[in-house]
This record gives sequence, structure tokens and C-alpha cells, in this order.
Amino acid sequence: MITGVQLTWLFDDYYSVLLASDMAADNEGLQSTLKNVMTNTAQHHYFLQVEQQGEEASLGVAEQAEIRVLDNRIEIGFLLPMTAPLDPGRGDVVYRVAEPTYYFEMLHAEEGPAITLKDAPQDCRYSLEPPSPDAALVAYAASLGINESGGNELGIQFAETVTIRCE
Amino acid sequence: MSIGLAVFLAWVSVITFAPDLQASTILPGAPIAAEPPVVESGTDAKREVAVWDRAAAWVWSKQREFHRALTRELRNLRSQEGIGWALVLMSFLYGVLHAAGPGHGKAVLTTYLLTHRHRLSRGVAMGTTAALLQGVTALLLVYGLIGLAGWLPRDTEAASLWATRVSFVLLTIVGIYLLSRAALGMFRAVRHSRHTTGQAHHAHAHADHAHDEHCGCRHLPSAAEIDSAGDRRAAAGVVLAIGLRPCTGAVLVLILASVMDLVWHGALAVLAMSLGTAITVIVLAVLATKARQWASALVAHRSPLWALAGGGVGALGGALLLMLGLMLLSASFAMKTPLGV
Repeated sequence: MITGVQLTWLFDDYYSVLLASDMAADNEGLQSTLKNVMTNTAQHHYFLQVEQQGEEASLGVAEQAEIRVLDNRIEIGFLLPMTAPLDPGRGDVVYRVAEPTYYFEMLHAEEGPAITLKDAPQDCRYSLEPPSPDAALVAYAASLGINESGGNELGIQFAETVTIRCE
Repeated sequence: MSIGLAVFLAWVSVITFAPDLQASTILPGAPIAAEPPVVESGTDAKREVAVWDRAAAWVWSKQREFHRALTRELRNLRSQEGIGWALVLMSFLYGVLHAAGPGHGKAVLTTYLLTHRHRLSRGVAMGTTAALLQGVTALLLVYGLIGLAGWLPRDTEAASLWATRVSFVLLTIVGIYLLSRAALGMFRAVRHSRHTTGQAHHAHAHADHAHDEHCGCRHLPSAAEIDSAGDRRAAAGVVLAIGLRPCTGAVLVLILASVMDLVWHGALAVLAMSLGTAITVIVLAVLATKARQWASALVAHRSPLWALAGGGVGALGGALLLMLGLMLLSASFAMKTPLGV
């Protein structure tokens, strides 16, 4: 049974610099930023969408939220427990991570294992499928200004799709 | 048995950033000041994609890749000795590509070159100076303010926004100047053509096409005419209007370089970027100049009203630049303050 998802967001250098210069980069500043981010993203289901057989899994409230500065980059991590654990034996579990308006781009790490199935049986595998937005959508996203929202369904179309299968 | 799923996202970033147009960093999940979303997603209706849209989308996604790659190269440089040619080369390519994308600098230069008489060398010089000036502006803004005046990276973005606004104001002024000069020239031409119609096109009697100042059929202007002080002023205004606006890639590289203690590498990268931009802009300037010369050659000898037409084209160019300046200026003030943080 999949009981929860541990998410780690590592922000890129440039955004980290801007964010760090906005807040007092001491522990107090970091913690208040973390609090804001967790409150904000809770309204968007922490940008995570988990599905099994077309049905959306329900996720709880984030636990163990942490923020730290790692080699000049800001990293936020938290655990999202499943309200009802998913049995991967019942069918493929599919998830996507996306900020809905596509203001932020969120991608799995290229270096190192970005996805870990902790304590999973040997026969569990995952596969990552890159997004394939059509040209019209890319053109639309490209046309958006910095202060324009692409609407709440834009981000998901640029999200990577991960499928977990246990034979 | 319980499975925990651990997901590591290493690229969480604002993708469409334009550092000069943001007042404060938006946090993930914070509402973005925005127009109500009007995206018809989910519908099956395929939108028609113009070739232009495809090209713009391609340039946009390439730029995104470049921003990422530039960041990566800078990070790698921290643990390396040497010049870092990879960064220099990548910056150069970024400059070439960046200049090929849509941007106000290209629109301004092309409009001016298409609608105003100039020599090829002038067009090339304008393009080169404007491209290099953009790099210098970025250097002064970021290094000057962070390194010398001790500003925060965030503040340099505000400064960058103001530099951008100054460039738009300048553009508006250049537009007004060109417009009024063209109008004055046309007024003179009209007055003169009334004056000369009775004299059976006396100008064509000049075998050598010597141009007296009020000739109504000027077609091959002398070097002195092209290099009039007014033209030089206008050209300088156009170059400044373009060059005062730093490019986003240069600001990105310099801000990161200053944080990572790679000041010289950053400056070198921006220099390479400017050179790359200059090459593309020079090609554009040559094309615009040739197009204009070709169009002039078609009509020059046939119409005694050429001075009037030329004035009209000049006025059109001035009006276009004026409008562009005002539009960009108002857009830069229309930015709403994001509700984040």
C-alpha cells in the first residue's frame, strides 16, 4: 500500500537568489517563508495529483515540512500522507506535479534518482513520461507575460507523468 | 507492507521570468496578479497555429533551455580554474538566438532603418553599438549596483525596470522628433512643388543631378545630406533607446555570477552574449537597409513627388516608433503588484 508521498522541491539558483534577497536569510526568515509556501500550496493540493484507474487519490495535510539552503539553492521538503492508502496491485498509480498556472515549472531531477519507491516490493517499477504539449499550447504559454496567469489548467499540460506499476 | 514514495524535483523555477518587470518574488502557490484566465483548455477544438506562433514558441523554449544551461555552466565554473570557454560559447550562441527572437530592439531598429535614408555602414554601426550597449547597461546595472553600491539582487531588478522605462521614454521622444522632422520636410516639399510646377520640371535639366537644397526630386542624396546633424541625433536616440534596456539573459548571468563570486566570468559571458546579439542584429540591419534602397530605387526616378512620399514614409516610421514607445511605457506601468509574500 502506498501510504504517502515525500516531496522535495529544490529551487533553481536564480529564483533562490531572488527569494533569499527578499527575506532575511536567517532561520527566522526561512521559517516564515516556509509557512507561507505551505499555506499557499495547501490550497492547490501541494501541486500534486495522484490517480489510480482514473480516480483521484485524496491526500492529507503536509507533515514534517522543512526548508534549508543547500549550496545557495533553497530546498523545501514535506511528507504528504494518503488519506486512504493506495494498493498498487489494483492498477497503475499515476502522478503529476505541476503548479497549475505554469508560472512555475516543476521537473524531476535529471541527476541521481529523482524517484524512490521506499520499501516497495521488488516487482514495482516506475516510468517517467515527459510532457508533450502541442505547438499551440507552447505558443500560448510563450505569449504570457510575467504577471499573466495561464489559467488553472495550463501547468498540468506541461507536467511530467510518472506511472508506478507493481506486477 | 507500506510503500513510501519519495519524489525529488530539482528544477522548480519561474519559467517566464522577465527580471525587469517584477516587484517582489512570487512564492509558489501565491496568487499571481493576473487577468482572469481565458484559456480554453480541455476543449478538443484545435487552435490554428500560425507559423509565426510556432517560431515564437520555438525561440521561447530554446531560451528557457539556454537559461538553464547558463545556470549550470556557472555552477560548474565554481569548482574549476580557467576561463570557462563553455560558458563563453554558450553565451555567444544565446546572444545570436536571443537577437533572433521577437523583441523591442529589433522592432525599433528595423522600423527606423526601413523608413529613413541612411548608408549601409550607418545601419551596421547602429546595430553593433546598440547590441554592445545592452551588455554594458547590464554590467553597470548589476555589477555597479550590487558590487559597488551594495544593493540586493532584488533592487537591481527595480533599477532594471527603470532603465527600461527610460529607454521607452527615449523611444517616444525619438518618434516625435522623426515625425516632426518628416512633417516639416513634407511641408517644404509641398510648398516647393507648387513653386516649381510652372517651370516644367527644371530639376531634370541638371545633367549631373546636382541637388539644390529645394529640389523636388531628390533621389541619390549626397553624403552630407545623410550625415546631417539631425540624422545623427535621431540615430543616436534609436541606439540609446535600444541599448538602455538590458537583456534578461545578461541580468540572469550577472546576478548569479555576483552571488557565486564569478565576477570576471560573468562579464566575459555578457561580452560574448553582446557579440552574438550584434551579429544577428547586423544581418537584420543589412537586410532592412537593402530593402529600403531597393524600394527607393524603384520609385526614385519616376515620381516627382518622391520627396513627399519619402517624407510620408519617414513620418510613418516616426509615428510607429512613437506609438511603440507609448505602448511599451504604459505596459510597464500597468504591472500590478503581485499578492505574493
